Amino acid sequence: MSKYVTRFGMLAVLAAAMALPASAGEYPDRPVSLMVAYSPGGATDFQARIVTMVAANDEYLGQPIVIINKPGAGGKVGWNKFASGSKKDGYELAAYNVPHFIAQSIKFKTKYNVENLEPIANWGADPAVFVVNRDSPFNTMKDVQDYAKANPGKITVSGAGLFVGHHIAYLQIEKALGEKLKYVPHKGGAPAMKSVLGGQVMAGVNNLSDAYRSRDSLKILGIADVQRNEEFLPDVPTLAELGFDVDDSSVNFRGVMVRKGTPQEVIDTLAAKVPEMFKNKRVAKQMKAGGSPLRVMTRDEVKAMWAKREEFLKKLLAGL
Amino acid sequence: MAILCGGTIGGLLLGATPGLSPTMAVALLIPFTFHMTPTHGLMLLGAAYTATVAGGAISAILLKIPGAPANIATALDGNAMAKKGEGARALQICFISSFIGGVLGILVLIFLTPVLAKWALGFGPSHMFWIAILGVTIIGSLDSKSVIKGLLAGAVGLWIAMIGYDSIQGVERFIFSEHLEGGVHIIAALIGLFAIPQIIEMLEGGRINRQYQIIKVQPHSIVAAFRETISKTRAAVIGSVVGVVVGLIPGAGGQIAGLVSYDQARRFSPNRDKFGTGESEGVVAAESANNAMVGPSLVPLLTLSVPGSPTAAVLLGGLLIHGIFPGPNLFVEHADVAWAFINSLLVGQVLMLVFGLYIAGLAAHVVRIPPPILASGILVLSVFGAYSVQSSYSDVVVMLALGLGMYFLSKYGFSPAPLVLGVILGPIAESNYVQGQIIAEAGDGMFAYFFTGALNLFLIGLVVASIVYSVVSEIRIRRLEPRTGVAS
Amino acid sequence: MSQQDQVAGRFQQCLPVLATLALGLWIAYESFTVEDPQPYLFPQLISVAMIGLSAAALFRAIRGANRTGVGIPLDLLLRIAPGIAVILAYVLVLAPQLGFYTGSAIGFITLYSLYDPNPHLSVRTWFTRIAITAGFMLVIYLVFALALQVQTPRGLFL
Repeated sequence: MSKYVTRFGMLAVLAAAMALPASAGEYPDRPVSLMVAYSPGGATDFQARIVTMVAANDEYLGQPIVIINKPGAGGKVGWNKFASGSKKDGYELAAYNVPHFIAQSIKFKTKYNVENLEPIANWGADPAVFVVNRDSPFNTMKDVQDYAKANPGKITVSGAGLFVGHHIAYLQIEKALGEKLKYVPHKGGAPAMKSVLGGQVMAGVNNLSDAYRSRDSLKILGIADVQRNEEFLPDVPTLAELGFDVDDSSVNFRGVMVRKGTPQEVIDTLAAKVPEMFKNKRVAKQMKAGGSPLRVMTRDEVKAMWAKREEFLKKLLAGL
Repeated sequence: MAILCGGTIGGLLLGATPGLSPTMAVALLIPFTFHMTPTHGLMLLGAAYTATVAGGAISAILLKIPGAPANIATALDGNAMAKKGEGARALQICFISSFIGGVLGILVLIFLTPVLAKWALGFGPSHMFWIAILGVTIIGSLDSKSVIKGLLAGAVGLWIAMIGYDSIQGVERFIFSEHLEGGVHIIAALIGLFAIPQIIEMLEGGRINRQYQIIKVQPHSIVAAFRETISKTRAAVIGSVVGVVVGLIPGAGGQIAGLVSYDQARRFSPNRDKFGTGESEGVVAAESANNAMVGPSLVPLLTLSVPGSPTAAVLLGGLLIHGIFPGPNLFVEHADVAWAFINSLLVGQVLMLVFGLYIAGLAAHVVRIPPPILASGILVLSVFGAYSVQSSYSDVVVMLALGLGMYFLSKYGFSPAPLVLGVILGPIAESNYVQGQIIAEAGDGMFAYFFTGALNLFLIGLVVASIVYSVVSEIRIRRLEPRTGVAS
Repeated sequence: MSQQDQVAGRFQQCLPVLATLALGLWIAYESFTVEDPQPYLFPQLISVAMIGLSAAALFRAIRGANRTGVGIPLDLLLRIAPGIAVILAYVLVLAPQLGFYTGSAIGFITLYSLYDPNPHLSVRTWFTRIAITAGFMLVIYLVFALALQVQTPRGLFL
């Protein structure tokens, strides 16, 4: 008997402490969660925290967004759980990383793919850059190409793991150079950058934002994107400008999505308000201060981008 | 100052909670700093980092449940002391040696950063591989009466580390349960392997069968603890040097600093046979190393913007969120914030010592809490701790499964320390071997890559020396042991 | 009677090493029979080491040379069995079904009461038990939910 008394006593205490509003009003009427499939402190995590910090303002959601980290296996653990177990009520959002999750859904048996997820809006785009150590004999992509021609398969290139943006940029670069290189997968962008700085590898593919922070110890030879980055690295040419056939397929897009089956009016509300929230002045200022390129895209733009990536990656990865 | 004090006290207590390792604690505090000024936020993180490293020793000593992997070595002798009623003494010595190591480490950070940063980056996959192998050589002799069982536990640990998606090639390995999809997180393994067997052991007495074994807590004078710690110069020096070196090397995982230093201190000590039975030298060596690691582990981050440890990676996020770029220009562009951070580490050490010594007197009484309450409390804390690492219920299930298995194994002379060491070293050895292999293929081949170069040869020398030493001491022990008719 | 001097019998000593032997054989089977052996190099090495070490330990156990470990006598097993049952029920059923806080409160008070030597039929005992449980859970809630903002799974309740 007493056990029940405790249990209800406990519940009363906890419920009072939580003071959850139980009234069913207009969406959203309680805090919304955003699942990030990477560790706290990582680029996706801290950007997600910045872009959601004004969510509670009345002109946006009017409710705070709480970040929940579910890292593991390059994002697979978190996204698998999201696509199979999260609620479809609009209170459980997730952050996506393109091309990672699309490439993984093609290469591995995952529970997620572009079909069972619904994009809401995109907040950031971090292109891959080709970097070498400051002391490297390579000064241009042409130098790299010439060396690779004379020594096929001898240029070691670091990047964060297989089938992530870096790897896809590497595959495109290797194809565009027409010469064999050697990809050395690392456990993340930071260790991959460390290998370039420490001279363990001859070159690296890494995030523009990370390369920008280490620019004093690096030479940044090219950007794998369709346009230069005017904000951070206006002097670095795109690889396409240099005559190499590399587009923006490897750019790391980050944004917000929900599960398929979420009510349409909830999706519409989010799709209207979330991009506006990303454009908030404080958000933009903080993103710039953190060295993270902001690129806001609406739901329709993201939908088109996902479809394009899916098609491209299927072709690129078919031979691997 | 209030932030520093709060961060330190909070850090000490969080650190003592199984599951809330320094990396976790800093990660959980980052959203907190969001609403503060950058200077205040970083001071909080700095103080919390310092204090959680030391706080992990509290539970390691009193309950033999290390708060973080770094505190495993502390538990070996610290807990033996606590069982003899010397909990207060062990904690005092622990905090004093933490302070010595910690301050030395931060001085290295302040004065030698530019010189050491380049050197630290020079460690490549082949060197890291040999460092991991060096760690493997101490597995057998670690907290285990039987070398064969120690090695066996280490092998099981190495295998546990292979479960999940292989981090380099993305291949699924040994995922025989959906809970294992993300692999076994080191913190979940640590909690399970240490805390769960302790919980069950507390229940061994049954309900009224036996009287609780009341452990008296002998009060111990702080002055005497200072004198004792300082007299253990050898252990403190070994600990600080090992801590600084291991801390500097990116990716070595400061988690092994305490164990390596403990092992070295044992080898060089005339009391080596007393290690594991409550020898304060062991606590000094382990804790001075753990804290000496803190400063140097930030060297690559602050100078080159490359995080050298998991905690440094989390701190990087904490810096970026405030728009502060670590790197060569940090001390030019954000000198005030950078120095506030480094000072908070230093002041954090002093506060850690003061509060730690105060807590030592109180905390030692934890052992007098009746076992049923203590067991239930640790159980709930373990569940919450394991869950909060990755917001994953699977981690809780894995934690429990490993813990129950470990309890039964512990009844047959197996010990959790070599197992956890295996879990830590497995991925370091494997990923660096694979990377080294790829780089070697592009270069002059495997032999040239792994076996030439001064640093490789030096590390191989250490590996050989470690093996030879183990074999020699094993033979020596056998000679000394009275023959009882069976080979041991 | 000191526990240190008591050593489990030969049969009991064989059990754990038989378990590691079986594990080693299974790992060997899994890692030597894959199509692409490259990611399985380390598991292969580990399985070989595990089989070798288990065989050596088994040999010693049969000869009676393993002199560490007290083993698990039946009376001990009976004393810990209810505790393990509560732990399993708490972690596998109560916490996920009822929610972490409710489940933990029930798990805590059940385990505590089961091993608390104070008389079960006294009001005082129960008052203490409930007070300690409530106090402890409040601290846990304050630390994890309010201070660290860890979002724990909810079941029927919190």
